[in-house]
Amino acid sequence: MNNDSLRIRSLRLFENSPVAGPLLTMIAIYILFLVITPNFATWRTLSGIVTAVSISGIVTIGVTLLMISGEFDLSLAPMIAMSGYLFGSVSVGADSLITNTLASWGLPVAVGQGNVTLAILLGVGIPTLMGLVNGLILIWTNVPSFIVTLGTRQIYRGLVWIVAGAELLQVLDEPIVYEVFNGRFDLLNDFVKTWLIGEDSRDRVNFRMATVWLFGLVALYQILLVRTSFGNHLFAIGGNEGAARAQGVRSTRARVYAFMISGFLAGFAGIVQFSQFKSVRVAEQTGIELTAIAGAVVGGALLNGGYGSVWGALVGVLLISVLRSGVILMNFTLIPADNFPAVVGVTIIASVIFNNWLRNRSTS
Amino acid sequence: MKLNKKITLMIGLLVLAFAAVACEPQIVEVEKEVQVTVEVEKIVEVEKEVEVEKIVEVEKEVEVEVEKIVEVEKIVEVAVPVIVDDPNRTLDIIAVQHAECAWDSFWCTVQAGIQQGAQDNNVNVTILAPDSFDVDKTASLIEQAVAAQPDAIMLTVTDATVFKEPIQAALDLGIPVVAYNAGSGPIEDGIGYLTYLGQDEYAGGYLGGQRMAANGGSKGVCVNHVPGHTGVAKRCAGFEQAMTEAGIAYEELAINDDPSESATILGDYYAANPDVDLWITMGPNGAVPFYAFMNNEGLTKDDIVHGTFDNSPEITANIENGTTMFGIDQQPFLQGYGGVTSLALAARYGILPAGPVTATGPGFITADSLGDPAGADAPMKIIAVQHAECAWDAFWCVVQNGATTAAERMDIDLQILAPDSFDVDATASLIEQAVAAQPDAIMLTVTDAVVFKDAIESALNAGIPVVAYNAGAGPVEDGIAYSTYLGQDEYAGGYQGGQRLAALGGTKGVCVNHAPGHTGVAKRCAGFEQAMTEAGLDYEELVTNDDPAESATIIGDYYNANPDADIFITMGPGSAVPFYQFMDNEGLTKDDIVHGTFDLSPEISANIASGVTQFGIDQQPFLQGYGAVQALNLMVRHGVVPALPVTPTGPGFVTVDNLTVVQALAGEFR
Amino acid sequence: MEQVAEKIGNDLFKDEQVIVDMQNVTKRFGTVEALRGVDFQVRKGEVRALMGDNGAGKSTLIKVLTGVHTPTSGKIIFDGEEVQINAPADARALGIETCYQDLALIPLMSIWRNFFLGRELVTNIGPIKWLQRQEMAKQCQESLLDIGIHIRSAEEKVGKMSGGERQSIAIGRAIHFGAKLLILDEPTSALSVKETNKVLDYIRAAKERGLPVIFITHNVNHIYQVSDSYTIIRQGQSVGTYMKGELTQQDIADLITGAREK
Repeated sequence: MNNDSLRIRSLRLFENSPVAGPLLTMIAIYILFLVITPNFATWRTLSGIVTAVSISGIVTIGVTLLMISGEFDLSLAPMIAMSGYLFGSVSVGADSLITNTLASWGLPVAVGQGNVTLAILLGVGIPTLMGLVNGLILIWTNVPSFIVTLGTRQIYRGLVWIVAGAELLQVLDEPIVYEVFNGRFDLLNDFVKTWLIGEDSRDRVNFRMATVWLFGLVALYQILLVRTSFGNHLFAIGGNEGAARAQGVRSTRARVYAFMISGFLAGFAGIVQFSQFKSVRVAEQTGIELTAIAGAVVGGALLNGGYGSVWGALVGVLLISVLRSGVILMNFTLIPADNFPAVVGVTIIASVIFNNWLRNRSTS
Repeated sequence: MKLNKKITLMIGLLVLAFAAVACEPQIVEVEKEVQVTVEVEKIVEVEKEVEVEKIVEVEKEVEVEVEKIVEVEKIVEVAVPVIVDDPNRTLDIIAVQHAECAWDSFWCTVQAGIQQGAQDNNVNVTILAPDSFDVDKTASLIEQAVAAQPDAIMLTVTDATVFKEPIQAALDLGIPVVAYNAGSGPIEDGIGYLTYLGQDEYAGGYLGGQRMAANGGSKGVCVNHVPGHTGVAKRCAGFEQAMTEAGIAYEELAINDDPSESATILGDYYAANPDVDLWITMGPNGAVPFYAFMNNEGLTKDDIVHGTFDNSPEITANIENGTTMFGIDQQPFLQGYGGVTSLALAARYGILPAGPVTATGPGFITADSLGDPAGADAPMKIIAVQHAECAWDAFWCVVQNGATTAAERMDIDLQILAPDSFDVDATASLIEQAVAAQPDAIMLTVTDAVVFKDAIESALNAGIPVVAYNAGAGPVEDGIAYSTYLGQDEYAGGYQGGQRLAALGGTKGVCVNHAPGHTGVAKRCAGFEQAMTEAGLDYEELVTNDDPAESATIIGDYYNANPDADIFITMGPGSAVPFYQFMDNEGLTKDDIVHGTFDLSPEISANIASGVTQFGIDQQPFLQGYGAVQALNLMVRHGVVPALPVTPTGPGFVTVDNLTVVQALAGEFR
Repeated sequence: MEQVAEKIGNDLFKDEQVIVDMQNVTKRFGTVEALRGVDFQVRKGEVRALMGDNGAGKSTLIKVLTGVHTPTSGKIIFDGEEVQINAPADARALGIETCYQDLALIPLMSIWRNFFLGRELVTNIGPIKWLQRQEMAKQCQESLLDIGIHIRSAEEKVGKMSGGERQSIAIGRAIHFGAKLLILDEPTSALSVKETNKVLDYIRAAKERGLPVIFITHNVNHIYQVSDSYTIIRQGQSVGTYMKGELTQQDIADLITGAREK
């Protein structure tokens, strides 16, 4: 045990932590860009990279928990849209179908009179219920979650279409709650500006509150995942469901919870997004499910379950964000501005190959 | 207990399934978008192997070729409607649409346009729509509409394949049909309806680009949030063209559905390309992250110029505070209004829409145009200033008849001013008089853009909207910012004429030009050449002169040297007269060559009747007068602006099918 | 030999030290009769091998005992009481621990997480069940050491361990949680000789702690090394139960294949 060489011990680090591989990759790429890319070594770029993942990062947390338990949820985009419409309408009392309907049900909201508490409750509550429905359909029908949520994705989009009155919702008010969820994080911005880069620098710092929420949620769910029996059971279900059941793990219940968490986080993402952009449409965030799966996989999660971490997923989405920013800032003539997604795609595959290589090396 | 749970679940599922069915339109649209995206992605993938810098060029070539094939293969005979006996009778029109006001406020605007169009044109309109988005139900509504045998039908072509049969049934009965809001025009849809009224996406990008480039710039970027969407690709292509013409660098930037990510992409791109100063976004979904990006970077209206498609409360606010130069509106009101108007003109006077697509947008919403329009019932006075009048020439009687007919129908006080004889300076002072009278709007013929410029600009500065008709070149070429010019689209005349002739088969097309150096005629030949090239035929321009005898010999000599020339287009009576002489000289008949011409004359009419000449292209003077009044009415009372700098009134094709109608209405409406 | 079998059977039947007694158990799958009236008893503290050719019915018998299959007829007496075992959870509740080859452990999880899976030591903080991670790792390591299993760290992933080590953890887990009967499904198949010997050692360790073990095997040598007795199953019936050393290896082989009737 004490004779282990440094090499073996460092390999063991990779083995026991899914986050180590992607973290190493991200740091390497970040340093590479720092050296070779003009404009990369700025606070503007750093805050941009972090802010870019504020919505997809929150969603990725839930997707990662699901993937660890061997499940997928492809119905998150309409949940985000649903949350956006509910939160947006109710928070300021926008003159919309939602506000009018809720008011006619006797709920404490009216056109021009927003209700922030109700807005938040609906914004996270309804998507949580949508997640619950996904989970219940899954356990009662035994149809794979990929198919179930492919179906509910369309159904939910239809629901959003009805709830939204098929219209774009955009508000111009700025209640304080928007600042709380995703205002500018000026405490940090001013600190960086004053102490680190100087007032007269042309560099800009654009950290937002969404990043605080994102890091907070990542910490919370990482702890939930590795420090509670619920997290333990998610790993077991994804790793070998038969074995988990043989040991008395109530796999159906844990799964339904995971879908509810995933819905809750999609709802939270909808609130955060609306708080900055004050705008939502029926087809909001189409395709974010795949972005989130990509983030989780780049972050070391296994596509077929049983392995992964929330930290890793955060690193995964950040890694993609670093790459995107770096590639755009490089301003390659060979990669026109409308083609950088292809570079990101190549790198997703490359980094997963790298992760697998590291994992195999450390376990054999 | 368990049973109860399952029943509850079943009921829940049923409700959800019902909801899903109710929401079909959204889903269908999304699927279509996805398909398009996939196809385009494939093309791009294949092309990546090609040298990267050439990709853009290669793509364009591919697109052009594809378009050619499609258009050549799908030449559609546009049905000629039967004309109603009494032009003053109230017409019955049925509108069939795939959605309605109760669903979506967008459709309320369309329907308001339909109602207003009905009121202004003495028409009864019945609107039919299914309970929910349902292509088959809509098709059966079209069948019902046809069975009712109205004077005309307008409809939204959401599915060209399913609707083809019922629409064709209407056309076979001689019922005129136009499409509005949804459709691709008679050629792409492969159905011979008259025209499709919708936004011209390319023109939107192009005209927006011109506005933004007017004060210079170093680089323009088209921010595309739906890469692969063909309509949006056209917007970017138009913007690129405007940039290229202004000598400004151009690039397209792809963003995505995640606004946080997109704002960062914009920021990074700007950091890498700080010379970008002209930005155009493709709608609220592109504008939302764009404003976040501006906020992040601390950019203001002094740093960059921003324009966008569509409108939203946020965009309106930014237009008001000057951050955004304009929002481009597809003008749903005009889609409904224009549909009724073009059908009324077709049914009453046989006046056909000039192009397969009639642009209702781009309508530019700027800080100036954000005010409220006067409203449908507001009293309105228009002064028309023209360089000639009815007393001089029968042509002008038709123009004036169009204007007065429209003014009567729309309850507008119209006053027509003209000099005693052709006199540019006298006309200019008439314009000054008109401005001094402070009417609600002015329409005029721009015979001399230089001389009239000051007078027209004084009207514009006084807030009086101005349109040009019959003479002019459009606000861009004339260098005067009036709203639009209503006249013949010469290029489209040559192009569409060429397509009709090429469809009859041939080897080589010749444009017989008796007025070399005349820009209007040069455009006719250019359009004809384009049609020949697309059909894979040879093309040559043959210059003749004012001497008909000499010209007939020139054509004869040319024909002997080029016996494969078998398609001829002449530029009007000036070259048609020697052309018929040439045919006579060579003993040629309609079986040897095909011929089409611009304009009409008794000789041309006779040859159309005998089948020697396929068509005469009419610029439709009635529509110039009528359309000018209507455009001003829409601007003043409804806040709807003309979509294009040139609003084509022609080409209107006179063929053997509608020759008798045209001859019967000649002098009054044609 | 009939006499011997009867004698042992009768002895066991009267013996209050019987942990499980399956009487005249039959199991039909449609028209196929997998078990045709099997009697099977195991005494407390003994290691019983279960032998038979492929398809002889030994797996079916075990699955009836562990609740995977319910018997068509017959009764099961466990620890002196007649029981109905309708699901794996029922078997587990009775204290019957089973190690199937595939369903024993989760390779991507650490040893202690596997060890305590489904029986985690938790501190309840409201609805949150907080894992006592260090305590579980410690107990796991100690408990395994107790039966002679050395692991480098309880944090290691099970996937990194050899087949024998994995069996040892499953056995250790059963002992730790106080099982009354441990069933091992071919614990030594696909193991090296060295690994196999280790697993056999762990079976002995289990026996030393008074835990009765049933293990299914093909290998006669293993019977001689660790089992006290063995039951031979052929064509859905019990051929007989014999004490160690009662028959020669050739006798056993012949009984399994049916070359010789009992």
